[in-house]
Amino acid sequence: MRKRLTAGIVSGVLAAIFMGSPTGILGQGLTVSGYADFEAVVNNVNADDTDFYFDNHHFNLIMVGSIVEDLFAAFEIEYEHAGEEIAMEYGYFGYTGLKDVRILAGKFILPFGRFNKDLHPTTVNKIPGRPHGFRDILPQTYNDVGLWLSGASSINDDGRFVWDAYAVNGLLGEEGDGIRSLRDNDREKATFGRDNDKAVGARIGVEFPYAGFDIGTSIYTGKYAESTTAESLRLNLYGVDASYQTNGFTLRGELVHATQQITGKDLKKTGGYVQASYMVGSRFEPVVRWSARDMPGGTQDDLGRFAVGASVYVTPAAAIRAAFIINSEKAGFGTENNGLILQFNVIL
Amino acid sequence: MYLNVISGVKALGLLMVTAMALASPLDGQRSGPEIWGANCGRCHLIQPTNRYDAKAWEDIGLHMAITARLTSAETTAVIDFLKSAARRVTAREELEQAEIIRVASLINITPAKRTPVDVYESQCKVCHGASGKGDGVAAAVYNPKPTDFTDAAFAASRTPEQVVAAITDGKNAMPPFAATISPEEVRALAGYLLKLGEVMPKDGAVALGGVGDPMLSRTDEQTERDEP
Repeated sequence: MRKRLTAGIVSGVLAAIFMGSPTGILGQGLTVSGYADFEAVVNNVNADDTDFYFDNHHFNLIMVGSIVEDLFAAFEIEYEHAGEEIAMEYGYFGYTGLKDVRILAGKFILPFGRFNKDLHPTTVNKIPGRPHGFRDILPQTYNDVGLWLSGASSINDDGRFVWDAYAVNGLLGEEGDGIRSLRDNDREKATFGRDNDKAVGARIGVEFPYAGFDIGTSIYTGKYAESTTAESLRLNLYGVDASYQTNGFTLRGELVHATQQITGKDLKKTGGYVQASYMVGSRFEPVVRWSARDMPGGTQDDLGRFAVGASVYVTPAAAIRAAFIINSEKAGFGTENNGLILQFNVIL
Repeated sequence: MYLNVISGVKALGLLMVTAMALASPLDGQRSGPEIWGANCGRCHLIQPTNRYDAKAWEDIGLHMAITARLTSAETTAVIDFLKSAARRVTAREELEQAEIIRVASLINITPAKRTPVDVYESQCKVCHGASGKGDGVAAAVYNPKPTDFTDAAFAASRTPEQVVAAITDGKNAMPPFAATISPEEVRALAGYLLKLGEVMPKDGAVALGGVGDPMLSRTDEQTERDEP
């Protein structure tokens, strides 16, 4: 009798929940998409320790679905390196009920510059891998949990003013840690715990998509550690990005600068890249990219990288891509630590 | 240093507020196809509109509009366009689409009459190209390719009624435009396109606006005879 009563109550509650649910939850479901790639990588070409391997770098699923009118959810599940790394790249709720302003809450890729935000799907990154500055200065891919407001307003028929503002838990670590390790610590809250000082950031820009031009500037600031005297130590990131497209030619560039406080001084780090590509016909696109970084550790940490590559678009959603990457260090361009990447990528 | 950063953030905020205040409230002046071609193609190749069904385009549009930083009006326009051109997956969707087109044609939802040049610029150019040669920014994704209106064979092999039907109902990968171009505009546009092949040199050097008055084209003469 008691079991029947319990079952009846549970059934009734479930029925009430589902019958009263917005139709979006039960009736519309998710749209599933994603992207994947396969790579053959040769590191340290011409050296004794040449490293050659295959990689299923990404097989990532993206799911988007409406919950109710003006409210949707989007998330990306990463299966990286043949499934060795599984993580949620982002997962947020988006509210679109306000004119030209979107409110997003959850885990998102920070809208700092363009390269961090637009790295994926793989096909949009015309040279596989990151340029200098977007690993150890801006710790790409930098995603975090928080609140994000994103807006766009028409300037005239041809352009718009765009802005983003966000507050996130922020990068966290020990005094003087490398910025990328701050990101990794941030992902392991059990190790470092949480602090109550949220990091904030913003990007503003203007875009003229019909003329093919856009430019924006970004800032991020947050406490990342405490010094031995319990003084708050901050990390500040500044960025500028721009791109121009015309008749198949694309030029884009980005600069990122960090000031990382340690006791008594700031560590200053700067990196950036310039990339040019040209679509020959509708299927073939060669590309070159130069990137460099300037680090506080001395010239041995100041690196440059020249990459040349090309894509053949098998379909609008799939490309075969090759890139040869030439690294330079204080001694100048070398050949021993160069790399070659062959890649097949597809938008699912 | 801390104060400098705070000052910087305040200055950034002030700049943002100023720019927002200067931003015009004008919105939606560009059509869905234009927004699609100019924005989606900036990061990746344009995907064919019939790659996804209407539900998928709606979901993808919500997500990608944030990445592309579209305004609300642009988002609505591009999603509406993609849904109108989406892959039909059920017979019911086919019927619904036909009904939408029928009702739209009855109430003539286009608010103001546009010249064929206006319509071409906003609806056709993204695929058929600025010179009508079928080489627009979205042309690469289609097989067969968008029609080259400058090819004399185009006008020679088609009647005005066939062109009107293709624009209204869609053909191959081209979506139906009955919901976004009024019947009167379709007729004028058809005449304009048929005239294009007679005056456009093969190198496409003449701008589309120089074709002449399309209202005097044979299309209008013929369609007027058909009307009661």
